[in-house]
Amino acid sequence: MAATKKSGVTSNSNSPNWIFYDSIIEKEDIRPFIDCMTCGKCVGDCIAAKNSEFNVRTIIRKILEGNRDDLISGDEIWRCFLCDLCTIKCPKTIEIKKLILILRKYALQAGKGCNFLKYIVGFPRSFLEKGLIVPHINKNLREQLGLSPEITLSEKTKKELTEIIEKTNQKKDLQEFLKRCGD
Amino acid sequence: MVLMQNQMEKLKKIPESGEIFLFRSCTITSLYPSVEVSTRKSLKALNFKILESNEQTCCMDPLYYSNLATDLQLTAVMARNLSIIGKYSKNIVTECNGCFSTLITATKNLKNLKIRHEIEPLLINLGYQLVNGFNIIHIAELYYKVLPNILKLRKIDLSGIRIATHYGCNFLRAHPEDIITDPQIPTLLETIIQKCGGTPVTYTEQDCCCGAGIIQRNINPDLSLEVSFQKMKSLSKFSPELIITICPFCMSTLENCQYNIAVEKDLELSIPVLHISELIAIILGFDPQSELALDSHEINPLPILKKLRPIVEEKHSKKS
Repeated sequence: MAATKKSGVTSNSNSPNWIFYDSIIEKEDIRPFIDCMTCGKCVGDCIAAKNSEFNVRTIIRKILEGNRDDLISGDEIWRCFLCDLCTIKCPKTIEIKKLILILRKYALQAGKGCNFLKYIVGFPRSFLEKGLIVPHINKNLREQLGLSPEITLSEKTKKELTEIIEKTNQKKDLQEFLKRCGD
Repeated sequence: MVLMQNQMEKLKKIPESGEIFLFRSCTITSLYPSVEVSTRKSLKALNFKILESNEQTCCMDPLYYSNLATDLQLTAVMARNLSIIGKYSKNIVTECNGCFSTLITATKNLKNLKIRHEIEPLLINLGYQLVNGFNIIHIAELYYKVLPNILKLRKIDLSGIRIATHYGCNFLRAHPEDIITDPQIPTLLETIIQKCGGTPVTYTEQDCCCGAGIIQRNINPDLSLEVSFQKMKSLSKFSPELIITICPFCMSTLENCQYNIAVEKDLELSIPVLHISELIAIILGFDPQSELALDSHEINPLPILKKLRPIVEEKHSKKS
C-alpha cells in the first residue's frame, strides 16, 4: 500500500482513503500509525487471532482504507483480550490496545456493542451504588479471619465521588449505558 | 536477575521496611479474604506498617477497559485517591494488576497539562490538591526487594515442589518500563521461588493471557475458555503442583477455568492457584488453614502444602 495521500477518494479495497484515519489521529490521543509495515507480528502471537476472526493487521488495513462501518458494526473488535502482546512485539510500537478501545468507543457511540457489554452491567451498577466494584462480599470468611466483615466507603467519600463523576460526565455516561445495555 | 537502568532505579526506591500505603483491591477484599490476610500477616512479619484509608475508592480498571471510563474520568477519580494517599505515604503497594496498571496510567495522565487543568479545579473544590511523586509498587516487587529478609525469617521450605508462574498482562505489558523485571522474560517470581527452595517450571504459553481479557469471560465466554485451555494445556505438560500468580483476577480465572476445561475440553486438571502473598505467608510459617483459610480456594492447596518441610534451625550456617 503506497503511502501517498488522496483525499476524498471513495474506498475500494486497494486504495487508501485517509478520512477515517485522519479523524482518529486528529481527535484521539494516539500516536500516528501510518507506518504500519503489515509485518503481521501482531497476529503471530495473538491469542484472539488463533481462536477467532480477530486480526490486527486487517483492522489497521481497514482503517487505512476508510472502512469505518465494517469495523464499528462487526463483532471482530470485541474479541481482543487487551493483553498487549501485539504492542510489545510491534516493531513500530503502534498503540494497538488504545486503537481497539477507540474503535469500541465509536461502536458504542453508534449504538453497537450492547450485545456484548450487556454482560458486564454489574460493574457500572456496583460502582454507581457503592463506589466499589464489588459483586458480593464473603462476610463470613472475612469475619472468620479477623477482618472487617464489610467494606463500605464513608458518606463523605461517596459524596465526593458523586461530585467528581457528575462533573466529568461519567455518571451521565454510565446511566445512559445502563439504560441502553442494561435490562 | 540482571536489571536494566530503569529497573535498577525503581528497585532502589522500593522500601525495605516501614510505612507503606496498601491500595485496597475490590476483588481481593470481596472475594479473596485469604489473600488479604496473607498480605497483612506477611507485611507485618517483614516489618512493614500498613497504612490504609476507607476513603479510597475502586481503581476503576474494569470500567476503564470496558470503555466505561475515559482517561479524564479515570484520572479524576484516581487523582482524588492519590491526594488522600499522599497524606499517608508516597509508597503505594498494590496486590492487584488492575490497580497497579490504573495507578500508573493515572499518574502518567496527570503529567498531561490538558488533563491536569481540567482535574485540578475539581479537586480544589473538594478541598484536595494534586499530589505527585509516588512510587507505585506491586507487592510482588516488594517481596523481591525484601527477599533477603524473607530468607532470614522463613519457617517453611518449598521443598522442591514444582511451581508454575503467571504474571498477567496488566503487570508485564500495560506499563512495561515501570516494572523491575523483564516484560518479555520475567524472572522475578522464579527467583523468589528458587531461593525459597521450590522448583520453578517454565512452559511455552508463559506470556499467554489467563483468559480473562478483562471482560472476555463475560462477553465471549467460549473464546475466553479456549484461551485458558491453551494456557493450562501448555502448563500441565510440565506437571506443576502449584500455580502462583500476582493478580486476584488472573487467580480467579485460572482456578475457575479448570472445572470448565474438564467438562468441555476433556482435560482433567486440579492444580491449586495461589497469590504470591499467600505463598509468602506460607513460607513465613503462618498456618495455611487456621490462619490463612487457604482451603477456601476453589481448588484446595492443602494437600500439596502438606509436602512442605519446615526449615531446620541452623544458627551456625548461613542459608542464602
